[in-house]
Amino acid sequence: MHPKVHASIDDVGAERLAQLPTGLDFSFGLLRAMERSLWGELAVRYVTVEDDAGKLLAFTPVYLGSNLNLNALLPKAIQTGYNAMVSALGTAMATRVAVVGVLISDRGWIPMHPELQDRAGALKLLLKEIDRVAKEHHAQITMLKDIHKDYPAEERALMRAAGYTEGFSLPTIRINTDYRSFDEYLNQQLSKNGRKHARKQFVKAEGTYSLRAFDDFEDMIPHVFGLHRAVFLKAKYQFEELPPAFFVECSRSTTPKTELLICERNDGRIVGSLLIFYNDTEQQNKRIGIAYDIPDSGLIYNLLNYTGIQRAIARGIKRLWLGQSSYTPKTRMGGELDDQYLLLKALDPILKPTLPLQRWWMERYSAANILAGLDKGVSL
Amino acid sequence: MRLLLTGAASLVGAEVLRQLLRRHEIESLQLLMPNDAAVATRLLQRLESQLGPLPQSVSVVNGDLRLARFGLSAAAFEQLGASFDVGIHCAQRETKDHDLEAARQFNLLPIESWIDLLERNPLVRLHQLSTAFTAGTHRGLYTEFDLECGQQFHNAFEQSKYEAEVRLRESRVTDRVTIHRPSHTLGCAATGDAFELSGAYPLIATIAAAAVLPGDARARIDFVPADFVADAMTTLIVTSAAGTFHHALGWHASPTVREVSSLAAKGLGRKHGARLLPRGVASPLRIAGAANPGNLTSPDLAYTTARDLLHQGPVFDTYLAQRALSPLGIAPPAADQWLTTAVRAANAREWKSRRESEPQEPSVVVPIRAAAAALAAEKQFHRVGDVNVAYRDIGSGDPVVFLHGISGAQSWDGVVERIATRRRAIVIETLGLGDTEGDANADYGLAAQAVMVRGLLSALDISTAHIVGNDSGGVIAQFFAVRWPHLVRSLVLSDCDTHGPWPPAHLSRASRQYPRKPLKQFMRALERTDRTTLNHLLGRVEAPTLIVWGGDHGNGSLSWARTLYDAIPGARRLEIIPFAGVACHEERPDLFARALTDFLEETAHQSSGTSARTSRV
Repeated sequence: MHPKVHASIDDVGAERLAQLPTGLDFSFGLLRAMERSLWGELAVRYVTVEDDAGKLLAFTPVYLGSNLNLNALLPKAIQTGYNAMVSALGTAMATRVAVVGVLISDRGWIPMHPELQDRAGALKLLLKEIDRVAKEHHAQITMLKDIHKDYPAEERALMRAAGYTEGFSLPTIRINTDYRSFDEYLNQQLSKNGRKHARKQFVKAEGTYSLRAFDDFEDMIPHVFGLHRAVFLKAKYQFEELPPAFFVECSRSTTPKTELLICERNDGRIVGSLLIFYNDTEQQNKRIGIAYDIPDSGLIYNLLNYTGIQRAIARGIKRLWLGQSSYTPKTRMGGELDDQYLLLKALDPILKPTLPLQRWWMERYSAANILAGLDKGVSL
Repeated sequence: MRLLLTGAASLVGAEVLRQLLRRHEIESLQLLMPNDAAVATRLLQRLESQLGPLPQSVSVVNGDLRLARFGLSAAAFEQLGASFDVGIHCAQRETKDHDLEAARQFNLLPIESWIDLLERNPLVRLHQLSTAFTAGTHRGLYTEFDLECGQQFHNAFEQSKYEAEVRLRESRVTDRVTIHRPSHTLGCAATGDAFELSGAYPLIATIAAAAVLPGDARARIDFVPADFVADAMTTLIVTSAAGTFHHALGWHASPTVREVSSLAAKGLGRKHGARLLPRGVASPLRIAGAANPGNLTSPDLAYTTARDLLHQGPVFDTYLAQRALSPLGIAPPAADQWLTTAVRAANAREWKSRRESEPQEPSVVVPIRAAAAALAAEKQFHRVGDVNVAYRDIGSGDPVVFLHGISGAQSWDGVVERIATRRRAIVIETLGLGDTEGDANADYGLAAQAVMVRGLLSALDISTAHIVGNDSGGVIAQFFAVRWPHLVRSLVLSDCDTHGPWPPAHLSRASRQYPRKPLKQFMRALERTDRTTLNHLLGRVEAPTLIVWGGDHGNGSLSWARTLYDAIPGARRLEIIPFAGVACHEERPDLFARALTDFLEETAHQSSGTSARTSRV
């Protein structure tokens, strides 16, 4: 087996990629949507390990650039100081990053062929090639993004052995949707208060708001993108900025399947929008858009998410992912938090001493700490 | 399709006009030109010298964009609204300085008249030329859907354009407005020709000629040719796009600052572009300023513009523009195909904003300057009872008495210099708030001050007058009007203290800040003022009355204006001055003076019994 680097996901190919356990996060359509909507200096390379027959054994995308908000989880003072430095001294001072994994995944891992025997060997090859690509693009730091807790611990150990420092990333939120009906979900998954709250949302919305789902939603994008943008601009952690082109590409994707859930007020105005990815086994409520200028924005948020859950159950999907933010409402919906890890490797010696500090700071993002915070009324 | 175009004699406006003239869909085209006939004629001559003779379908409307209703009479404004289907607003002030007041005059105030026009004419649409730099200091993606994203602004141009977009978005006509946001705009791609060297010419002149500049070599910078901007605009105008925002530029075609510097230098025949220093270490350069061939801008402004704009800025997304224009084959050319040509053409005309052969425009501010000189008239004093009244008496004609509040007598200067050209203005200083001095027993009460005004007018042999009062001066005016209604030819009340919290918070603050005795006495008198009786007596005021209120007065004071309007039987009109507070006469003297002049002229022609009551917000 040998490593290889591809400049486009089309070079990797949908069929070859489908041989790996890609889930929704590494699905061909999502990767292509990301590739075709990169903005600014961002670039992507796909690092693979292949056998001599060209069979894909391991795979990961690597995003390269300086316009990634790497500091979003760090203290405000560091973010401000960094921005001031770049502003005064120019983009030459901006940290160039190599992010390994899908920029907007809900969870991360390294997809490997199920029949691959030497996983450790493939991973080592992959990590070495990632180093080479990162250096080639003058990256100063490499980040293995959001490695999910279920990813084999021994492979995380291999990553650490390859020079990566491991710390917590924001946990991802998972909801069990293995129910025969939405009512069953309400009764079994939610607390009494949660159940009452959910039902109240639908009653409140009756007669005022209605929801519609679109499979082919390209023409809707001019009408809903502003809502999604409003949510991004209001978010506490502004990680990945997605331009309208991302939504356009999503509307054209077949793997994964996508749909846009629209919430309309009875005067015809679109006040909410939810972009959903799904396949036969799982679903992601990927990006939400809300009109914040109306008093019912909270209601619309809940309506869209509950309706997303309803649709997952109706499709027989067992598991739904709700992303890495807004933990309070999502735990009320029955969401459970899964730990995830960031693994950082400094290629620039100046940044190396900062990694233990970053690791210490990121302790606060463990699922246990976030849940404890929620109990005290502190939400992320 | 019938069109109304503003700013035809500008860099982009002239190109828009050129392309509209080629469109067969255009039935008629009105150009809104300055009021001054000589200026308008010269501008038309310049347009014709570049575009050829204008066809008969083109006509001219004279007005002043900075004034309410474009400075037209109510009837003419109504008529104008009915005469076109699509408005194209290209007029703008593009100077990248920090004179926000001036920038708002040209970039924000006309929006009020446009909104007014669209509200009156539900089928009319508007295309507004804005700028991609409403993004200000925002870093990261800036999409056509974005406006407010926590940004600050490098200059007054960016801020005033942003404010104009906010105003349009918040208005009821927003779904009939299309905003066009071009990036740094230069002349035509093929020839480099430009109607005038405005827009981004000062910036590109600096980039082309400077040896060292504050700039980030790797940062990206967008330039677009005016003919592409005009092509995009006219296409969207005739295809009826509305309610959307377009960035007329493209990220993928954007060169780096280093590349632009090199292309621009080539246009001047130089081998190398400017040496670029990050702004953090470029400050010493400021002492010398930056190169500014042709004096398109000052060296200092050239330096600050380069410092602000040649660094990492927003990344513009062009989804909507591409969606609408790509299928029609309209796309911006790559910089290396035209930027050098644009610089070369500008250099060939020696960076003269307008060609030397063109006639210079006369200054339209001369009459105002003459009136301003009259303001320097010496302050006079006249004793009325216990009070030595300070006042200024300027001009001749119908007497108009100005009474002030906390903002002081000089706050009327901007209005008086416009009024005194045709009328006699008497600015009386309020006891406790100006140079009028009271003896130990003087009564500082507002009713007593109305008596003082009466005494002064008698002394000046004025039998009847127009009374104009702002703030506490407005209360004095009311006392005067209810006590001597036969002396009042008309009454103008602005942001008065008759309702709401008492004494007003700003006066209480001021009295704490300036603890001088007369002000304290004035405040005590204010607290004793019997408002209830006064409000009750307002029903006696039959004189034609105009209520003028600052739109940003705050604390719900607009309802006070409405209360006054309802209480005074003679009230004819309620005017709201946008983006102005309590001292709206001082903040927007041109708008205030215009409203006042219109009103005085109307009252001269109408009898109070037959006039209609109107409000305009």
